[in-house]
Parts: sequence; structure tokens; C-alpha cells
Amino acid sequence: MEPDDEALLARSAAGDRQASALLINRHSPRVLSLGQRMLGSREDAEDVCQDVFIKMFRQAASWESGKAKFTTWLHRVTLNACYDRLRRKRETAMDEPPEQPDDRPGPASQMLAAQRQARLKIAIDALPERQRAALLLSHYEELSNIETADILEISVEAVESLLGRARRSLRQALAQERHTLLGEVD
Amino acid sequence: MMTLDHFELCLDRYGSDLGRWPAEAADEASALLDTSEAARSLHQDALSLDDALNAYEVAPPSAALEAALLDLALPPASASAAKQQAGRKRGLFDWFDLRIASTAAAGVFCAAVGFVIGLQSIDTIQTQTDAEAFLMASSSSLSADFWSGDSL
Repeated sequence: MEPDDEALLARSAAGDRQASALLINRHSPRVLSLGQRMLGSREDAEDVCQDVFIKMFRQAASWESGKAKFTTWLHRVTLNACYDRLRRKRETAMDEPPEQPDDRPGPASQMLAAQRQARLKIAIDALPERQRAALLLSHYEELSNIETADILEISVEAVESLLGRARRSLRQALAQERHTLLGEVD
Repeated sequence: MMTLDHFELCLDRYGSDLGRWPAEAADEASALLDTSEAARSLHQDALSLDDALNAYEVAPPSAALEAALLDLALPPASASAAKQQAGRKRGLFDWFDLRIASTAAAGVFCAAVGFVIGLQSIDTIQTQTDAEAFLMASSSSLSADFWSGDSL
């Protein structure tokens, strides 16, 4: 049986590198994917991932069992790190042109898949931060609306409203690309 | 009976997978899907959107990133110290008390040594003063130029 997160945290705090490695192996993919989809940048997501794990290892020694669910804490810390980074980016924003999908010719299936992903990424990046966070937690992390509300520190009704607006916005934003994105070739 | 508008609202809120809907709404939606072509069309749109979202993949952490993360984990000695610091706040004050006491003891010792050295220096200074007086007396006939070397 796999040790639970709290047991691993306690072992990690005692200097057990194997426990630390298990925590990294178990949780770094979700921190990284949430960060990358939230920030739209692999490099920034890796920085956020490191920030989150520094906090996690610092927190390990004083983690109070039963006070909060570890994954809720982890998601919230990850999102807060993303919000900080997005705020700093806005403050130092330069007039860079928005990212465009790569339309260069290439093997047909690869090009189509790359275009789909690029367009979807742009559409997700264009969502307001709270809508984006709610959508990512609900769709990719497969969290319930109750868990998402807990992480975002808002009501379930507010989460459902965010999700509704996010999905509607995505559909509208992608409407022009629908033939390509959804594989509906005329 | 669920209306088409309510069905669309639920699709936006919960996605295309009826398994993630509240049970009662899922049952009503299933019934609606059995009878409504428009509902099936809306559901197909939602499925397509979820499929598009699923196509946005993120590569797992690289070995280099995992190694960097492991380096962030506290080594055993630091981890032990951190745990003691977190768990025994009184211990922190004990540590400060020890530091203050040892610093004070070192200060007293240095002062005592300095006092003894100072007493011995008085004799040395007295001896030096006598020697300088002898030199001044014996060289009083020599001009300043001598000492500067200009008279040679």
C-alpha cells in the first residue's frame, strides 16, 4: 500500500529523501500541468513548480494533520504562485504581439494537431484568470465543483458560474476555428 | 422534465460527462437525450469541446526538473533543525540564552586579560620613557638637519 501524503511529508521533514522523491513523483506532474496551462509558458511553469515545492518542503515539518487536505493546499499554493507571476508579468508587460498558431506547412496530421492545440491554448490564455483556474481544476484535475470551490475559496454557485462563462467563452472564441479544431472538415 | 435551456446550462457547468453531474440532473438529462435531437446536438458540441480540451497536453516533468526539485528537499541535518525549530519554540529561546551567556563570558575573559596586559604595559612604557630621555639628552647637540640627513 502506498503511503499517504501526510506520512510522506512527515518522513520528508525528517530528511528522508526517498519520501521527498515520492512526493515529487506523485505531485510534480499536476503542479507543472496546472502551472503551464495557467501561465501558457513551460519555463514559467517550471519556476512555479520549484516555488511550490520549496514551500512544500518548508511546510512539511509543521504540517498539521487534519487541518487541510494536502492536495487542496497544493492546488491553492500553485494557483497563488501563478497569480503572483501573472501579476508581475502584467506589471512588466511589454508590447509583444499575441502568440499566433503555427501555420507553416508540415505533415498534415501533425500540423492539424499542433494548430488545434495552439488555438485552444490561445483561447484558454484569453480567459479571465478565475474562469481559467476553475476550468483547469474542473476539467484537467477532474475535481468536483465542491473541491474547486474550496481551492478557490468561493461558493459552489460561484464556481458553476465561472465554469459556465469559461465554456461559453471558449466555444465563442473557437467558433471561427471550429472546422479545424473540432475536426469538422467540410 | 429538464428544459433544453437548463440542459445547456448544465453542460456549461458540469461538462459533457453526465457521470460528473448531480445525480438528479443527470437522470433528467438522460431522459431528455433519449427524446430530443436538439439536446443530442448540444451534447455533441459539449463532447467536442471536451475533446479539444483533452488535446491540450502537457509534457511530464523532465528528469532534470525532478532532480532540481529533489535538491530542494531539506538534507537530514537541516530537516532535523527545521523540525526542532517548528516543534520546540522554547528550545529556540534556550539557544538564544546559551548564546548570550557564552558571549558575556567571553567578554569578561577578554576584559580580564586586557587588564593584566595593561598593568604590565605601564612598566614597559616607563622603561621606554627613560630610554627616550637618555637619547634626547645625548643627541641634544645635534641639529634637526642631522636627523633629516641634510647636514651630511
